[in-house]
Amino acid sequence: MEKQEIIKTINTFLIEEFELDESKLTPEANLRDDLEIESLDFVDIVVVIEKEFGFKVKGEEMVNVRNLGDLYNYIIEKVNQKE
Amino acid sequence: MPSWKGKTRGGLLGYRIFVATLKFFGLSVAYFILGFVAFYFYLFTPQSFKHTFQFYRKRLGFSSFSAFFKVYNNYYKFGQILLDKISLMSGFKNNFTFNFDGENYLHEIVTNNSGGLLIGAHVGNWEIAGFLLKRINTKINIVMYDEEHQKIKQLLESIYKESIVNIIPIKNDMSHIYTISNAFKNNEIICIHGDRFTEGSKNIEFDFLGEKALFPAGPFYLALKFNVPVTYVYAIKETNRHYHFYATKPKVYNFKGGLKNRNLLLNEMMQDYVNELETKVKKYPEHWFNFYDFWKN
Repeated sequence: MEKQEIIKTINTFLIEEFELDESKLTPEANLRDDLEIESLDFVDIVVVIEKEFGFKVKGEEMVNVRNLGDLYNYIIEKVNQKE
Repeated sequence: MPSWKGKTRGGLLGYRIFVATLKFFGLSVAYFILGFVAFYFYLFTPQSFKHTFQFYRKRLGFSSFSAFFKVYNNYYKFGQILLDKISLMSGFKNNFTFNFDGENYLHEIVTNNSGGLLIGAHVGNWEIAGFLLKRINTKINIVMYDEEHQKIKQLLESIYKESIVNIIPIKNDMSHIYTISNAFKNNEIICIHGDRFTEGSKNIEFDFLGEKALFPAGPFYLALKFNVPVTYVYAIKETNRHYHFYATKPKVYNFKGGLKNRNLLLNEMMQDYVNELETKVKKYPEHWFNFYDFWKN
């Protein structure tokens, strides 16, 4: 799966679920401070990741995900491992 | 800004002495000893004294003279509640009485098969309420910080005869969220405090007793996220042997998604909570058990 495809899938979900403005979705955007995504919202994000990218997310792996770039990189790494 | 760090003060030896006193001499003797222990804390915990004193002076408008006494009474009542909890949960002889305003609301939650969220505060002690919640025909879970949970677990599990509630510790890996989600699906009750600001989480500022204070959004967001009814609860020790439990009418806030809608609903429900909390604090000023600087300034 291409990196751009992964980014597009995540961004589409964030726009639809949280009604976020696309211009805010930069790799540097802090999930909590800039996008107002709370730890509870990770439940939904995990569901989407597992459904769209076909791997199981472990909670402790998400602890270091602070900004959107971290989230993209985490998914890209896991998808590459799978392939 | 100061925030609560997830640890509660109190030593192992102290607990052991009080457990032995309760077991062999009863609650009245334990209360007598507590009078000296409370005085020790009154003299030798300057930070806590300062914040509690300011609470009575600035927030509730007591005179300095009255506030000095209120601080001592506050420490003493806090100790009494800890002793009551040990006494009740350990099956030691006691003769407590209880009344329960809003018990029907909790039965309604269970009957509606939706699960429900009970949000309390560090006003009174709702672990005591666990005894009353036994009358509600479902499993009761209390969400609390892992560090506090471990401490309480190690100290008291050995003496408690029955487990009234299930503890869900808050974990960094967010596993508690899945546990909470499953509990709601099983029509269980989740209890959580709504008055502990912690750094690194979303907090919203409200006017509380005439000054701005931060309240954590997380507990309230739980109700929105899982679309469960929420009620605000308090268990207050009104006399040496009597507790009064309050539960407000449950409300479902119908969250449909989106950040804007979420923030609006969070503000609405948290304002409801803050109003209720303010009423209770004014009614029971000596039952305020946040011993740190709760207000922004």
